[in-house]
Amino acid sequence: MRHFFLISILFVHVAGLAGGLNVSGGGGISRAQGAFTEGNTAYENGDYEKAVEEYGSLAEKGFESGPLYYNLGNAYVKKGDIGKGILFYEKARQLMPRDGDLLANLRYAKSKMKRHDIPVKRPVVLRWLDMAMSYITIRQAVFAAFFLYYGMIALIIVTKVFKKTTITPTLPMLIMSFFLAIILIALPQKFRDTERGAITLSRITDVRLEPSDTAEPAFPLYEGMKVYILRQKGEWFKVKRTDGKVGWISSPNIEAI
Amino acid sequence: MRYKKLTIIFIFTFALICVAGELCAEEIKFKILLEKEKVTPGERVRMELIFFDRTDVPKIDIPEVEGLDIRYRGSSIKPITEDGSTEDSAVYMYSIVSRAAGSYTIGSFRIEQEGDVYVSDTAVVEVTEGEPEGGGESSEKKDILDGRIYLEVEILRDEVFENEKIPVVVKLYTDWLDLEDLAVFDEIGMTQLAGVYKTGKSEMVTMKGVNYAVMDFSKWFFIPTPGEYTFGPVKARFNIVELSGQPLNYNEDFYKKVIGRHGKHLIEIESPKKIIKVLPLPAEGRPDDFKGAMGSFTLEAVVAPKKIKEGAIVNLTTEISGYGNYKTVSAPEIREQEGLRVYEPTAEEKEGRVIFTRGIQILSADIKAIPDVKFSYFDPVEKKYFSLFKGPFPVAVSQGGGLAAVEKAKGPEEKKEPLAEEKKKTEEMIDIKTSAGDLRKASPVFYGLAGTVFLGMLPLFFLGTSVLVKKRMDRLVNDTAYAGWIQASKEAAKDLTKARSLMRKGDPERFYDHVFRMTQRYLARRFCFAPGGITEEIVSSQIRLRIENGDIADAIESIFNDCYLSNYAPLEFEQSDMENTFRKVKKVITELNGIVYI
Repeated sequence: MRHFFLISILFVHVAGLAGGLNVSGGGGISRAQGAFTEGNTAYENGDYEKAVEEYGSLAEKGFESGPLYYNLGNAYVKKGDIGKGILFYEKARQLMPRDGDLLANLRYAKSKMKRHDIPVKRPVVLRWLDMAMSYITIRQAVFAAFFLYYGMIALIIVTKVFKKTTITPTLPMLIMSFFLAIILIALPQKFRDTERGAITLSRITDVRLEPSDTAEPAFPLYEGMKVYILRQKGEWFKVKRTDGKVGWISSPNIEAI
Repeated sequence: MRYKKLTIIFIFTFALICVAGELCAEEIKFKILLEKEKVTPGERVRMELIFFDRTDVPKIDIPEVEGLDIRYRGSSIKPITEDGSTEDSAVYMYSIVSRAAGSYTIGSFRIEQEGDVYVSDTAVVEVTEGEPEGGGESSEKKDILDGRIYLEVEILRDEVFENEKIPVVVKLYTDWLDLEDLAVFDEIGMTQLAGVYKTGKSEMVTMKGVNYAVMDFSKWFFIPTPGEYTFGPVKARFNIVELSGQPLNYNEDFYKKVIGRHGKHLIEIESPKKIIKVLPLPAEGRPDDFKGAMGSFTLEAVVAPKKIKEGAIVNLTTEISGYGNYKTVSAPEIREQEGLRVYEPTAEEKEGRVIFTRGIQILSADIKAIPDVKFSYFDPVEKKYFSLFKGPFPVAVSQGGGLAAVEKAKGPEEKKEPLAEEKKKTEEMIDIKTSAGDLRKASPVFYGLAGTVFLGMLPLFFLGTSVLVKKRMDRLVNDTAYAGWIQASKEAAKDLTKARSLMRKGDPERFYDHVFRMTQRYLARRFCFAPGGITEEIVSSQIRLRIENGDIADAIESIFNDCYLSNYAPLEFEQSDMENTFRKVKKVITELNGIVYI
């Protein structure tokens, strides 16, 4: 009875808090929805500049959703800004990685690139894992890893500590360990893609050996090419191309995903 | 006796074999050829040992010549003419440096090596102060580094067309120098106009009697705007490695001996500049579809599949190969035709060719062929435009399915607006999304370092806690003394609270009754007796023995005594007596609670 009373109080408090948050955020969301619709109208009318402006204002205010980034990518590609288009498609892919429309348009935008990304030389197994992981978001991957980890610990507690069940935990533990290992092996690349990935925005730019405009050029980057940001020094980023080449590039030429 | 004879025969035979070997040893003659016979101190001179008409001689170790620093630089086999006949001959090359003026005689040598005897003629080098022989004369090529290394640039033509692929070959001539970390570059660098220099072939050449190792580096570039341009200078940057292993001259200082001879020297040399005139493309004969392709190309095209249903999409793959600037090549044009929807092509550049693939949707079953494709280019060698054609490409289109069938099935009004879903499929890009989805403020990731560590530690904490709880539960089941201690402590705390309450109410009868029962119950739990079995006698006889502290035993006995007396004369007990008894009870329980096993 006493527990029921405590749970009831807790439930009332949480419900009240959630309701309060919802009420306080409701106005912002509805305004954002309005801006999104205006962006759609501009896009449908062929006014891609305005569409970019409307969608972009939402992104600048910190709003995010897969369709928002997808539409923004579409508007940029229609404007002829392939680099920005690919950038926002990649952002959208982090939120809705299995969306068929998005993947099709991303392929289309990449077909417009002057030079394609140089394929990463990775063992076949790791490439399979990368491909499998590309169908889920990083949040889902991390959640799955924690779910499996918690499940394994719970199984140990129930079967080994309290011995409350006659189930033999070996097979479930092996299965969970296998999937957990797969996720943990594939996660670093996923993190790299998410946390360090950047897209080249300039039509063509030289990556230099040192963070200076007068430094020797090391290799070129073309619009839409993907790089990984290793570190930042003022306005210069030390980047790594997908084939492993490293150099420095100034900030207006790339943007982080 | 017999053994003595055998020994003599053996020794004689052995000596005969040795003498015969010596008699049969071949005497091989070689010439010493000097690049210059008069030099200045410090000037390097090349010396060659020429084994005429012999290609199988090993490198011989020539003796030191006092006053000369002689270093081995390599060998080659080349045709040598002597007495009117030319034969392939082994040539061993050395460099000679003399630090001091004088006349030095090299040879004649007689060297025995691996059973052969090598005999040479004599060469004399005069080292004199002043201008070296031939010094100051204009040279066709500007020599750098004591005339041992220089660059030559070869460019296709002095006059080229805009966007024409201009191959450039850089030749690095080096005379016996060992180069490391070699890099060849120019001012164009790695821009969209040019690639990087690729290392080509290496060969040995002889020019004016001097042997050079020649390394080729090639790249190509193009210039998009007509005008006059300067190409170069092309630069080569490298380290020269000083060879060791030759005897040092005693007049060299320590620095040169230790560092100069064994160290690396970073050198940068550059080629002369080249003037290139870039011509505009002629307007005469320019095809309408010309998009700037420069070179000489061939065109291949294929359509697949050839049997389709109306509404389906076929792929037109065109491949342009040949020599030219592929950065100027764009997809061949396809002639417009009713009933076809042509999509934007995708391009894939491979070595020496570009492949364009474009989708073409067949909107009508009346289509019999995909129309021909046309590709126009300007050939800078022929200096005129060319157009290539391929096709048409027959296709067999059957009715049914696809967009056209859907359109036909509908009325004339509906025909104007195809189904949204079908329209979506036929657009170049799939349309925008009408719903914003889960539009929300971007939230920080929950898998940051601190969050991950916390969430990772949490189940371990649960696991540890579970193990502790399980251990405690097992102990409570299996360890009676421990269980009694835990239970007695909990009950005693409640009982003391109640006793204090009764004491404050001033009800001695109920107070002592409660104290008696709680003491009995507490002691029974702690000493594993039945609660009713705890009497003053048991305390005296058994519990006192198990409690080391006699004061506690006395206090327990006193409590029981007070309780007995209160049964007979409760009104005799005042508030102070109750407080005194309560203190004793509290002291006993506190003391005994501190001991797990009694």
